[in-house]
Amino acid sequence: MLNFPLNILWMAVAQTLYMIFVSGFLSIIFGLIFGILLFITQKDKIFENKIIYQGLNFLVNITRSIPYIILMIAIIPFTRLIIGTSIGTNAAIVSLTLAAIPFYARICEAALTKVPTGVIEAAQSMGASHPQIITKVLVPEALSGLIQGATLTVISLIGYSAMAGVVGGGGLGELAVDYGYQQFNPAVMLITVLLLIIIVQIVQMFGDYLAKQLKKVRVVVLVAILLFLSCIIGQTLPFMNNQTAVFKVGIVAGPQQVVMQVAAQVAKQQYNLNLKIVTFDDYILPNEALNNGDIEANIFQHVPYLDSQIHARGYQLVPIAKTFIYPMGLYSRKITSLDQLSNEAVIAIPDDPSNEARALLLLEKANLIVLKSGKTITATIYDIAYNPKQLKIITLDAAQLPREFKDADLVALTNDYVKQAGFTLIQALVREGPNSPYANIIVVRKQDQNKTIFKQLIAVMHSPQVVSEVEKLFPNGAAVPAWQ
Amino acid sequence: MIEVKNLTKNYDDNSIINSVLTNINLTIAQGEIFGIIGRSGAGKSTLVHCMNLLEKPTSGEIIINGVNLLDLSTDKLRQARQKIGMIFQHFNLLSSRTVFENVALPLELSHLSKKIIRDKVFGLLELVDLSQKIDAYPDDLSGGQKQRVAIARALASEPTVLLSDEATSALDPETTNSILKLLKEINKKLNLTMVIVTHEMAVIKTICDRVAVLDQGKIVEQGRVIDLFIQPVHIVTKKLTQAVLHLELPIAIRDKIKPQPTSDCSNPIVRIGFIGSSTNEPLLVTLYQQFNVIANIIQADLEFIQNSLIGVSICEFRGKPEAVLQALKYLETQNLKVEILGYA
Ligand SMILES: Nc1ncnc2c1ncn2[C@@H]1O[C@H](COP(=O)(O)OP(=O)(O)O)[C@@H](O)[C@H]1O
Ligand SMILES: [Mg+2]
Repeated sequence: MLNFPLNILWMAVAQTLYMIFVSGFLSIIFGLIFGILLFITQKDKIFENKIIYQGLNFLVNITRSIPYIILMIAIIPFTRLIIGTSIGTNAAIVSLTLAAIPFYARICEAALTKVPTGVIEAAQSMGASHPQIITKVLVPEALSGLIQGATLTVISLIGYSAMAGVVGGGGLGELAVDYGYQQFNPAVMLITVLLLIIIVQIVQMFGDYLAKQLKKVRVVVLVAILLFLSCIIGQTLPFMNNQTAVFKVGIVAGPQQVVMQVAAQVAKQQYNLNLKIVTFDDYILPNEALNNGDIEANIFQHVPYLDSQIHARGYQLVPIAKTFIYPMGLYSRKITSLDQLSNEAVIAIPDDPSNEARALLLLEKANLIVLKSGKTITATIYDIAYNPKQLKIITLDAAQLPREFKDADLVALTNDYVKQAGFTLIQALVREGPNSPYANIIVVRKQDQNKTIFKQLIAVMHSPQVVSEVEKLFPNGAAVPAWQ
Repeated sequence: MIEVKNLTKNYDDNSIINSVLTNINLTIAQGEIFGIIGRSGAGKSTLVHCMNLLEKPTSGEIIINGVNLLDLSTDKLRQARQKIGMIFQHFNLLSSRTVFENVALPLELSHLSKKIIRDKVFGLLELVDLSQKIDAYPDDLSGGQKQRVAIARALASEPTVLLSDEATSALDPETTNSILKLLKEINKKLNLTMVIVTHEMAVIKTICDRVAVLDQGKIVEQGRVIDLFIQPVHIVTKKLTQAVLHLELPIAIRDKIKPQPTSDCSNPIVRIGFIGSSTNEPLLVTLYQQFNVIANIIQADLEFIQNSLIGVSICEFRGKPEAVLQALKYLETQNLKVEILGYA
């Protein structure tokens, strides 16, 4: 009915709650410390210190003005330093915490400012020390505001956590983006959004309740500390008990997630290999994470893309096997075979450099044009050496192409748009074959390429179970094994 | 005992030096209730805040029970402050704590056991007559009750000195009197030295033994309260005492009088102040019989200032100029405080 496994949903709920709780706990503690420091070092306050105040103030302003998504990527080296990896839920927690600390620090500063100066003065006149003023006067007197601020912080963390998918953090937000948005599964989107709304509501109601029942704060803090400790222990225990290697493979969110679930089952059954699938939301980080050792392999790109990334970033990465090709095809509503193509016919192709070259190579394969010698995956329409039918080749935004069938005689469509244009792959007049350079590949680090474990990974990806799952998801030849 | 020596306090805002207190010298005896009065902005709060170093003096010495507070380390200063209680105009109670917990706060700060704290707090709340409000929160108390809690809190660590900064200024007259009465009782019971800062002469009149008048950061007059009432010298003192004694001259007369005698305005307007039981009646008769001077009473007031009766009257003297002069000399020999306000 939902067309996707329910256990993924519960997993996502658990990941979200875990991320929110741990990052909320840490950012409230550190935010409170920084907030108190910001307050007491102000002019005319109990610990006036211009240097500390201005330093902290600057730091808070800087971190608060960096968009979360950029902060998350910018702190990758820091994340690796403290938890040893830059991907996964715990990596997301580091960036969430770092983003929320200055946010809560400001809220604390404002809440503490509302404590009447006279009350602090009274405590000083009793001979209270600075720590006593903080713990016995400032925090208890500002408690209601501090709790409301903490509620606000946790709720904005829920929002931020939706972006955690970029570093493979998982959670409901990633699920909504992956299944709901990218795969357009409205039911999944609706359910995840509903669950997020429910979580926000519960947090808000609990915060409001606690802000009025201040005597219960102690108990809640105690429970939170215990829960936090058990999270820490829960995180470290599996590593100590279960030393069987987990083998991390990076993919990009989409139908591949379902394929990789099957692959993981096959790997476990046939090779006792624990595949851990790390899902990314963008096309840069899977290579970055592979190159710096956070994952062992990735499966999401084709050779031309890998080459461009190696060229741009100097990665030491190599492809070890092909998986599937999702062929590009040439489609038409005016003709039924290429012989019918008249002189000066109009052909529409995608305008992004990678797909433009890909379409031109397909036209060459159909013997409609000849490209200048040596021009392959970097070809543009200016590299056409021979065009006997004087075809008019125009480049357009890929998303625009399905609407061009009235004006164009022939249109080049990538896999994503075939269904939208009302075709199936079989109806293509020409399509890419298994030896196209645009087949998906398994990529590993150069120094690891001869490890036997990769032979197993290749075998898994080429196994009948995986093939049949892919054919189920991409029927009518929309995906073709590229290794045969 | 409190000694303030050559105390000066400046605030410098953007290099403009603003002198708030200049060369203050005070000696307050053990067990005394000492008033500090002045108009708003005179520097009273700054002065009393200097006495426990909540405000740091620019120069001078603050000596309490023989120890100069400015010589103390941070730790020792905190210990010294525990022996200097303070109460405030706006009570400054912790709204998150009950009455009990507020009074317990200073005891918690010195890490006393729960049992000791309990006994002490109960005793203190009994002293300030608030035993029935022990679990109430400050928000549910009246102004007078809040100040009682604040007093109990200030007394918790058994101070030898109590500083009060406008403690009754936010209260109505009736509540003010009950709080002042309480302070007086405590002063007697505990032999506590009290410094009462106020802008209201009525407060000074009700409980203080001695008073210093502060104006623009300087002490312009100080002495026994009754002396200030019967013979104020400084213009600020005069205004402050007049208001309490209801001795404002009627406008008709005030507009008429001249500072120096002239041909048509030669009758002196005389302010006569006295302490004790002597009354006006036989005096006026004596003046008439002995000097042939008629003393016309314009205003008169008798007041009890704590236990002493003081009287002040304003009279117009009529008679021959030499006779009036002799009459005035005679009054001074009778231990009366005489001041010529002008001539009508
Ligand atoms: N922190 C401060 N900075 C600058 N000026 C101050 C400060 N505190 C008080 N003053 C000035 O000192 C003067 C005396 O203030 P204060 O002691 O509060 O007077 P009072 O209590 O007699 O009304 C006022 O003119 C006030 O403006
Ligand atoms: Mg004041």
